[in-house]
Amino acid sequence: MLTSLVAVWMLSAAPASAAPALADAKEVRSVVESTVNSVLEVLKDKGLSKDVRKKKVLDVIDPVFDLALMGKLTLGRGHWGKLDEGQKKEFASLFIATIKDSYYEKIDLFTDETVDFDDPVPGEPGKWQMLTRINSKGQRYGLLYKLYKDKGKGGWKVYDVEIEGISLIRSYGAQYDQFLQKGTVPGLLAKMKQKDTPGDLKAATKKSAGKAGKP
Amino acid sequence: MRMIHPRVPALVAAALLLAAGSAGAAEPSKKSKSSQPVMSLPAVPIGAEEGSDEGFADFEGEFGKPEAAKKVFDPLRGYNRVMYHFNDKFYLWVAKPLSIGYGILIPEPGRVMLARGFTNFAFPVRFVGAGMQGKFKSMGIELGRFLVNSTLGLGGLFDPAEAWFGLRLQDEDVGQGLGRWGVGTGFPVVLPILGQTNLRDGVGLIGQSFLTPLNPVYGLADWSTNMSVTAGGQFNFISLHIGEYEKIKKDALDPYTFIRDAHLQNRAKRVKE
Repeated sequence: MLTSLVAVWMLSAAPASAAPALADAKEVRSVVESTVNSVLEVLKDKGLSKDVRKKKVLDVIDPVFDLALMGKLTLGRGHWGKLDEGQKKEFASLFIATIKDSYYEKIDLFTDETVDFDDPVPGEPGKWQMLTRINSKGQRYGLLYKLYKDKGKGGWKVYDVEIEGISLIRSYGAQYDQFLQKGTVPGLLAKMKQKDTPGDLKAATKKSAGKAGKP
Repeated sequence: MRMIHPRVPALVAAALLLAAGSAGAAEPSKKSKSSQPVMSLPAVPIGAEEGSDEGFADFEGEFGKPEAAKKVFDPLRGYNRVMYHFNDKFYLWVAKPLSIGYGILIPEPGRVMLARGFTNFAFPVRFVGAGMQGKFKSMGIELGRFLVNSTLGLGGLFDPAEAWFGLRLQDEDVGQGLGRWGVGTGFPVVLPILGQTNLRDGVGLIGQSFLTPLNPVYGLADWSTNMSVTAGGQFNFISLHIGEYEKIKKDALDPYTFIRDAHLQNRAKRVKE
């Protein structure tokens, strides 16, 4: 009985799901590869000024990273629900600026790098992960891109990035959650704005260090 | 705690988790989220803006609900914060300026070669760490790498094992071995100078300190030699990673918890692999 069930399952389910999965894997691979390669191309063009380089990198990742979704996920449903419409907009724009800066600064550290691509691996339904390995200064770093299929707009979008196992969503999420345990939403927005302001970074960090919500 | 021999990029292991000995050959973990509570997925299009849940449901299996977010057990947080700030200043005021000066004296390619040499020298740690996890293939790869790089690679200054034979560094250590045996992380601990770790990996570091011929118990070197070589390796490492810690710190609302949580994530991933 069991064996025949298994046989039926193997005959029916497996081939039916294998083909789309293969197509998904191919799409995910091409999205990640072309994005990473385009970023590398920009980074390797040393003739560009820092500002131009940054803008070009961000232009590449903008359509691929679902930054609005990432912002919501870091806050989580519980905290997100506490924001009114204006605050949601403000949070989104501050978060997106933070993440763009952060991603660019990380990626910009790799000056002499080459990148190897692993095969995409399926996650939960509709999600894939693809590991890229950056070789830099004799070391190798794992950068895992996590993508979901955007059924609304079509195509694959990045919803999280893990650097050596450290998830962007989790890390920022834990920080915001910690702050909101004791702090308020306007307080968080003010703090993010303060962090976002370029220049005088040290003073801002110092000033805010004391106020940080202790766990 | 001062007797700990920091094999792992010390100060930096603390903070620079991005870099800390991370040259591992990680396989993509297929079930990387399996430890998270898996929730049933409603048939709402992922990321859909419409609908009451605004697309959260599709991701809560992975990231969990914030209300359910488990708090990090951090009984030493008072001490840890103080030590974090001490290490922060030590890095910014002492280690970093020294490393920058050192970096001016020795050009980067030379420092990369030295870093490889230190990595090669730490082979026993990876070999034993892999063995503790029953990773016999990794042990073999590490042994092969050590033999090839120590000879053809001129003491490990070059990496022909990877370049010619495709043998990639296996990023294993004793703490991961303990983790594989089911030892929990205990709680976060910030060590002086060495930086962020946890009880389990701290014990791993102590065990690992015996996995170098430079440990004075073997009579080949005294403490000052041991410490000098270790410190040299650290400065060399830091000189190749100036600016990384600063960027991580800048990202964080609360640098101590940011680094603590990131370190936990990083170690969990490495144990899982």
